[in-house]
Amino acid sequence: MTESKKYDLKGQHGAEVFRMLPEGTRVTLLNGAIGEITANAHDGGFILVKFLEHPKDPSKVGEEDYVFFNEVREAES
Amino acid sequence: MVTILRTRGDRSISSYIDAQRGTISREIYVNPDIFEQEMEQIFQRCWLFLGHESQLPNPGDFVMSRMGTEEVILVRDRKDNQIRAFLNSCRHRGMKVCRYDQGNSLVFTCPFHAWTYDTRGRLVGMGFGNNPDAYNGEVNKEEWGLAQVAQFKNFYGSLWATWDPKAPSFEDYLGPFTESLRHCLQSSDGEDAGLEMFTPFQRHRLPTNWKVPGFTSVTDLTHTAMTHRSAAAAALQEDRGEGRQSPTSPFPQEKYAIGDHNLGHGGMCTLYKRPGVPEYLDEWFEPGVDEYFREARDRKAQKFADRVLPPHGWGAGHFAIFPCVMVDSWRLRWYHPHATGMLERWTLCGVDKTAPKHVKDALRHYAERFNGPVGFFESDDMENWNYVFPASQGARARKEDYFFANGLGRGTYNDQLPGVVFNGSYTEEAQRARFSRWLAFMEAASWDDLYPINKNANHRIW
Repeated sequence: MTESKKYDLKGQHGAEVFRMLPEGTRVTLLNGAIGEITANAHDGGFILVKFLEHPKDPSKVGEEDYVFFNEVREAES
Repeated sequence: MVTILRTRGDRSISSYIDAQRGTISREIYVNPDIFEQEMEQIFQRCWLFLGHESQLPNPGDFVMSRMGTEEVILVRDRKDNQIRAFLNSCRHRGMKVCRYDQGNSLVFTCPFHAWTYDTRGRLVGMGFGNNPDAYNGEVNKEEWGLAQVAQFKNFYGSLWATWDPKAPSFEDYLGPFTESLRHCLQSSDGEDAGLEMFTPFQRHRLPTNWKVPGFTSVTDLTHTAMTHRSAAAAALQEDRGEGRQSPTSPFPQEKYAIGDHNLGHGGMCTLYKRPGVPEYLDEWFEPGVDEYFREARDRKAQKFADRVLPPHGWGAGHFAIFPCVMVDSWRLRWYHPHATGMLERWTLCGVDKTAPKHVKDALRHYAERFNGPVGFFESDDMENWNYVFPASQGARARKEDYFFANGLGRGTYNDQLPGVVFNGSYTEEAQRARFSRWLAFMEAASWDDLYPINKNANHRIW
């Protein structure tokens, strides 16, 4: 059984970690939405996320959208 | 009437050209006001060459190109696989959204405020886009995408664009030169869009006005004997085997300098007197290259026995597309203006997509030997181009006119290429056609005044 891995997104180290987050990483956003990274721009700013849960706007579940780094609360594989 | 203000006082633009005498004022080359007007009147309206599809084989691939003084991102969309062109300037504060020459990207993120665009140029996010204390999700993203060219054309693999939605179609813009360009983009055996380009762009800056090489070298046979004398003496011709083999059944032909004064295109023209594909003559020292081209020529001759075609793409022609593209068979060279006395000169050299490695290597090595600052042929030209500008811009020097009267008054029309003026191959007819078109663009209020949108327009001034 593979253990889940939580990424530390804080500080200078966290900026580089965010830039390299792999596809498939599960992210939780500040607004409570949960999604999976489908592509990473590797620019330290944006990731493309497919939403699995979106409490504020359930119509977005299944859709992809670009997410800015400071909207991400947590990331884990 | 369009007037040029400030530098030399009010003066009509047409007064800088004396068509009767065959002269052109040096002001056209050295006056910054004229340069600024060229960027608006010419480079905002004309079809300009951006690159080749073989530079962007995969979704997300991008190449930085230029249109006039401005950077343009060529990018293949990750979803629909189409290539598009966008101004490299963030819609928020104008920062470059891409600072790389080429690569593959998911998005283009502006490093200033993180306005971010996908590979279709659409704004897809920005920093704090959903923050209630900032944009609060209220920006209409559809309205704020990257500025996209008004018209885009993939012409047999070559990529062209114009900022003007009213510009004619690319084919109408080329007129009788449409087939000429098509031939130059064919493979050796005559297949359309048969080329791939050596990458990246070969680029270098030259401290001169863009029209010096852009208009002069449209065809300029009188310069070769002196300018390239040392290169010729160093056996450049022999470098490609010239003179090693004579044709056994030479095609009857006539050579001309041609210029379309209404379209501004022109160059060298060979009129063959019978249909078919001329025999292949040995040109290469590298083993196996002549054999490859000869076999390709034979396949082409079987396919196109009833048409007049060049023997192979490498020798398909030499002509120029207005305002600044030189098509020298498989070599495309063009001149991006940066300032009145500064240009950037780009080259793409092609080869058959399906050619074996030893043929591609031979073509690439030849292009490197021939072109650019370290090429031992084109560096001769740069010596001239670079010194023309400083020797022409001084307060005294700019009072003298340039002589453009070689062959003036001897041009004639020919039914084989309607609308195109034919003249002796060593004349400056093609260069004069450039200036006929240049003046038309500089004076026209819009494409409504310009051929071919205005079918009745006649821009020939000399």
